Amino acid sequence: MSVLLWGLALLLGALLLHVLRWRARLPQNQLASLLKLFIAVLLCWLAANAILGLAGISALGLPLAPVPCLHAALLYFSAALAYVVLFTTIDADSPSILILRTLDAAGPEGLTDEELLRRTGMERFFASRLERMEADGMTVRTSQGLVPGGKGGLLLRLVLLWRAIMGAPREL
Amino acid sequence: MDRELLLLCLPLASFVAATASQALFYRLKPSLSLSYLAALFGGLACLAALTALLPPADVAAAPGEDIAYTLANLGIYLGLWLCFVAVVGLSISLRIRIMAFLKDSGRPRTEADIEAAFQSELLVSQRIDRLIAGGHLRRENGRLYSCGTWLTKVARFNALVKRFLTGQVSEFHGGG
Repeated sequence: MSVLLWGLALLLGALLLHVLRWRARLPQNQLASLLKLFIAVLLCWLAANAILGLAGISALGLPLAPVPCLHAALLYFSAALAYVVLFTTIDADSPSILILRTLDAAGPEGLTDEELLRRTGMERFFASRLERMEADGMTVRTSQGLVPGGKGGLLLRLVLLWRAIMGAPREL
Repeated sequence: MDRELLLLCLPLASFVAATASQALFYRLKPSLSLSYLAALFGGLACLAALTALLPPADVAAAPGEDIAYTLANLGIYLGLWLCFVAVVGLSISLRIRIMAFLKDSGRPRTEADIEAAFQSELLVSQRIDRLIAGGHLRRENGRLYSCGTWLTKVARFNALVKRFLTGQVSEFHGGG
């Protein structure tokens, strides 16, 4: 039972910290900050578990033995990664979601294409994507233009590798 | 092997089964969305089978322990499956297509080059056409209207969470 309870408690604690931190001040690179926060919570908990174990003190079901401790950590981290995946859809606007939101707000009056473009601010859609890719380290700026960054290259290789395993054509 | 260690391995083994199911299914029927479902159910079947094969626990010593471990393993498996779907789904994302373009170019490219290659002015109109085709929007007398489908409800929820967490409406508008 302690594996399930600690996994969930860690997740709830990290989500609470996430909301408080984001409400206080929005981080520049939200995804990287979110990942760092989740990892920091995990490391603090693992350290607390180890310290309690070494000191021979029992509190709140801790210390956990190594295997249940790893199990709780895995539950927490897989749920945290799933949250990060969902958060990307909130952080970076999907144009389709933004179009729907804007037309929903317009109500029965609807909008022309030009009004929609103006209200969504999507004239900047492509430029915004390129700026984010650079900020996230997916691309790197040189004096002649943009080139693939280390992170972006790695992600692309992973995607292409899986497409090859799936037997999907290389063209994206 | 220790029972607790076996329990820890179950969701990981099920995740491997899910990825294999996805790749095999896609080879048989090249549909990304169906292959995600094949992965989900392939992995779940593996998780259920492996859980059933485990040696019985001492229920008297720790009542409810098996249910708690099953729920924890289900949580781990679903979390990993969602991450896998996100990585596989990346192959059709604009970011990855831009990365592939830059890599294939073999030289630095300016923003103008990239925008021209992707016909950025068409991206928004293509999305609108796709939403109309999916029944989420309709066009009448040159005006666009929301059809209030489930995707609109997702969009409302997305807006609510974004405003709550970041105080922003859209990344294209910045704050407010």
